[in-house]
Amino acid sequence: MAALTAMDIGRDVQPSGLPHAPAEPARVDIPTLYNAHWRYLVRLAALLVDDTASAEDVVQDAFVALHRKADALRDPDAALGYLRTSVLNLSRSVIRRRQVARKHLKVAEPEATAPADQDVLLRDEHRATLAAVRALPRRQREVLVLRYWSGLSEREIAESLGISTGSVKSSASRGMAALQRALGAELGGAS
Amino acid sequence: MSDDPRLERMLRDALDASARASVGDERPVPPMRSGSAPVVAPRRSRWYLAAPLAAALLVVAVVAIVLGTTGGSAGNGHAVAGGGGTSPTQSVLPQAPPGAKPVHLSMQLSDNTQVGVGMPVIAYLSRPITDARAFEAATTVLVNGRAVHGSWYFERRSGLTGKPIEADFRLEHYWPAHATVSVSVRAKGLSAGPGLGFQNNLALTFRTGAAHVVTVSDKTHQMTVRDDGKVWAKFPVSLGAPQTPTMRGTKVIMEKGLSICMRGPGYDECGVKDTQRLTLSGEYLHSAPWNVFNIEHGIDSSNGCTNLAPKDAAKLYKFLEIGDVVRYPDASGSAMTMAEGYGDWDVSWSAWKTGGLYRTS
Repeated sequence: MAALTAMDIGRDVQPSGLPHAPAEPARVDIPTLYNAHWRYLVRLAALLVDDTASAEDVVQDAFVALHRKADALRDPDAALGYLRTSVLNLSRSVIRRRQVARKHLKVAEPEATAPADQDVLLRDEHRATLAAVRALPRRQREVLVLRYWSGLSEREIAESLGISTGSVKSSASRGMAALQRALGAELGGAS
Repeated sequence: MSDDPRLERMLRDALDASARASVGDERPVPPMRSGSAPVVAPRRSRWYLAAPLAAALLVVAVVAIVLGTTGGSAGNGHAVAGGGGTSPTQSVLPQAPPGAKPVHLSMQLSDNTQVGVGMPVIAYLSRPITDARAFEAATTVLVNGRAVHGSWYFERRSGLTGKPIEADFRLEHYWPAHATVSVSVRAKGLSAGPGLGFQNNLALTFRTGAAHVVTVSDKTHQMTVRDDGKVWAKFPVSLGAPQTPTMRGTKVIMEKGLSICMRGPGYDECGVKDTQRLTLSGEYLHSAPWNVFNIEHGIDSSNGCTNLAPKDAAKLYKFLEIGDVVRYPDASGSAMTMAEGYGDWDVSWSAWKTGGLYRTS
């Protein structure tokens, strides 16, 4: 029983950033990661692919990929980062597949992605903002979601997307400038 | 990255609303796709393949608790793997008997909120219990994916309908800054004492911002605001007058209000600006344009609030967020307590670990 106590409180350590004892590195198990991060990761994917069903598939696939990548499991920090990057890559594939399908349909569709089903629940100003986000080039949209929704640092975004921090900065400022142009009326002139 | 804070705010709000619309806070986490289960621990794969999915997930849950918290490999999962045909959870944590009175659990924070490093994780219990050990043992907390050691502390809480008991979780020190924290309590079906059983699991993921720690000195009448350890600003303040002194100890920002009404003995003031609540009885950080002389001359004159010059209060309002820490090491009032708000940091760590109202070990 004692060995199974959730928190070994007698041995409290500074929670993160400190090196762990090298002999027994911290282990992370996938079910805990899944339970802890499922909601966050599905939301992240949904912000990129615009529909919840695809977002859930993306996250399931990301966990399948994590199972295959045993190395990532040795370091819990790496595991979360690996999952995030998987979700970004898989979301990109979803969008790509969707674009290919659309081409074959040969039906005239508007350039921007069709509004997501859940948009009916949103307020007008949010809807306008999200439409502007959807109209952004893929990279800019990813950077803005990671920066302003996930709250990642520039370095973390760069690592997640496999690009330089310089690219993160320029994508973010270009994306914000585009939003500013698109939403100028919503923002109003005053204050 | 952008010079327009209004655009940033609009973007954050819209993304957050969209994220919540895609997956609500209340929606339970669905089971993991079955195809991925066997790879977790090859040693135990036979069990997974033989058992139906539901049973496999139960094992996964227990393995999660065991692996996530013991840190080493010495005892990992043996109790589970050795369970054979019997339900493995029974050999791990005490189950509630059939017909036990249900104890419903809920979280105060919603998922994916960003809070300050002093924010306690607050859970509510729908009825008093008599044993909190299974609850504590069923808890896994990850910071950036890494298991950390903390503890729950139980208190009676009045004023919240259907939530008579509050459990707060914290580490010995504040949360790390700029971190993702995930809390999982797999308490469903576990015993909460004789005749009592937990009705549901809890899961919460939140983020911490920069480490904002404010120290207010009653001696110098100065507030020092630190941002990730570096001094960000110093502001003059006026604290509580001798007959209404400001409480001593560590407080945490509980709510923010751009313009609110404040009432108390001898005052009833609406339109108080840039308010940040610190205690339930009503201590705030706020703008006090009527009190600038006392603020500038180091005279304690308020009803217990921390009065700031309007421009300072506005800057501070923009800078701080819920969960940020505000310390009053030498204020002249009584000691801050948990009953007064987020007084979690005023309980010593050794006292905290015992669990408060209920023993946790």
